Amino acid sequence: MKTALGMLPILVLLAAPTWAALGEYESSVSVDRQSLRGTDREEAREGYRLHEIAAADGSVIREFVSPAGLVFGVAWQAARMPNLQQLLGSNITELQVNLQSRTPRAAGRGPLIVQTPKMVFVSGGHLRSFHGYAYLRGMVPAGVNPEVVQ
Amino acid sequence: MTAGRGSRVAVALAAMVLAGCNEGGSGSGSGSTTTTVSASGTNVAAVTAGFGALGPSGGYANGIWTSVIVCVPGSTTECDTIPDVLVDTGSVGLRVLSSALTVSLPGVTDSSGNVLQECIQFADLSYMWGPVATARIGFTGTGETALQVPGQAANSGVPIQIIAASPSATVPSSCLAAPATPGMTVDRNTLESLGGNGILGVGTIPQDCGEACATASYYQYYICPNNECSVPNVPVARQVWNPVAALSSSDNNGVLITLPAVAAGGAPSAVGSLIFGIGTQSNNGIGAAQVYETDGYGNFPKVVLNGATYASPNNGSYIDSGSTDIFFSDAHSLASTGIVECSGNLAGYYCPASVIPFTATVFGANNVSGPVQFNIANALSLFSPGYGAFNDVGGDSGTGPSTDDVDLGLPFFLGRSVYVGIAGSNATYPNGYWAFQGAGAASSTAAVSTETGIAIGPPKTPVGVR
Repeated sequence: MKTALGMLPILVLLAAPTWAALGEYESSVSVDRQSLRGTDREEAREGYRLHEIAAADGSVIREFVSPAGLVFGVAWQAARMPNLQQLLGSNITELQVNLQSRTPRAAGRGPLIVQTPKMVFVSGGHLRSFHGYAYLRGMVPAGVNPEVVQ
Repeated sequence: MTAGRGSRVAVALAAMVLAGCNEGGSGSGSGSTTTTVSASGTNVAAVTAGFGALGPSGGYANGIWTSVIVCVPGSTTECDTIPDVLVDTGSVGLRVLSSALTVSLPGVTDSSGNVLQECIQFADLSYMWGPVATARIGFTGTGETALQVPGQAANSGVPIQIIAASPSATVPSSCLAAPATPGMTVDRNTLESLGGNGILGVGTIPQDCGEACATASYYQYYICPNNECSVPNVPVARQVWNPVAALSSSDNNGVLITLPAVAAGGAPSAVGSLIFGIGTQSNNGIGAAQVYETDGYGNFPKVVLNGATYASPNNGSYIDSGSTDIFFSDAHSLASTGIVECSGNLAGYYCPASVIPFTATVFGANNVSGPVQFNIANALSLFSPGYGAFNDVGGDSGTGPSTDDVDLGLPFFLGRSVYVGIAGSNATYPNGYWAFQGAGAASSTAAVSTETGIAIGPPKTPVGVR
């Protein structure tokens, strides 16, 4: 197959864009919007604030910000898996440590649920429709139900 | 088997009202031998639900496996028959381990000769990475072949992915949801980590990305000259195709998967059929089955179960033969039903004290709804005999209502005929659709109950004939 593809390569920066990582200050949210080339919506809710970033490809990332300005939860709904290294920041090590200790049976073929004393993480769905969330137990503001993270 | 037998009888009594609905057929009431349901025709490939290539020690129960023939485009002699390929209605496209190939397939390249690479990611953070190549695709025991993508030159081949243990380009970090760490098995690029020699994605769309990747850049297709990757636009004809949509026959509108019912305690394996086409032959009629059009995300728009509503896309629910279990709701939300989570290595699975019946109501984008019945048994008891096929193993889909969903995995397929219609093949259901008939677990257990363990013969007519 030597035929030309007719593809139009568009060079993109593969260097990791900066996300507002879980557990960090929300000041980086505006940077997220730029890297996603999406729209940013902010909403005040009882006990916390919600940042919703809708990307051009239909993906939606939600970040839940405490009164102290810290991102205590993130959630996604996207056609492709989000870059969790960027979404979770340093908390990715919580996942790594947990997954390394699992048996093959527990790995299964389905959603991934990780609950540690520090973090709750859920990743589910399939090609075209992934969804999930993560929150830090110790950072959820007093009086706020962690179930708001979705 | 004592625990399993007791559970089975309990469910059988509860399900006796459904006796007589033994549509799926069952090879044995004892649950100790492989069960079989057979169909015949040149559009029928054999499938086996069970452990696959790694066997019981591999720990991968409830896969569904078939055999695929991969040839150099245009050739009928330069071919490999590849066994133990997972039949996955939750993905699209054929992906084969490079270690399972002896023939050399031509890569899909751009005008500069750069081979197209692809990254496929899954919810459990695993991924597959490797080049796109073209092949003539066939299916063992059938007359079905995919020679080229519709509208392309004769015998130009169908794009597939070659999953590469030694990839021709380094995996870009944007392909990794989480960093590849030693000891953390996130890649599915080897037989050991994949559990088979490949994945045959026969889901509800014709390509694995579609117009999105043709008109904008996504982190799915890459070109990586000198190991510096960029993300090109890729015309749909160059994307990895659902092989069914590229079949030369008129059977290119979807598939029908039939698997026999198994006893409540499971079976070593279950042998059934992957039948190509829907309503195109005497053996794949859809009959009176209710058709559920998917939404634009490939989900049921809504599923209601145990009083909870799961709406797409945030709680998108779906049918997926590549999921090993029925993942639904969570143990906390289901506590009133008697569901409890297993402990230890089986954490995340459900371990109720007795078998628990559930009825979900699924909704189609075509404004219809209907019931799906299934049972959930104790996973620890189920796995003890070393069996490979279960219709009643389940587990958490999340940790609470905000992220839960309903994933009707391989257990749903046992005892049913499940139709997967490809988007664009039926103007009435433009997003693609699912349909199903047979009562699944309820049928099986009812049959066992009424026959008190006497072997039940195969259905007297080919499955799907109406």
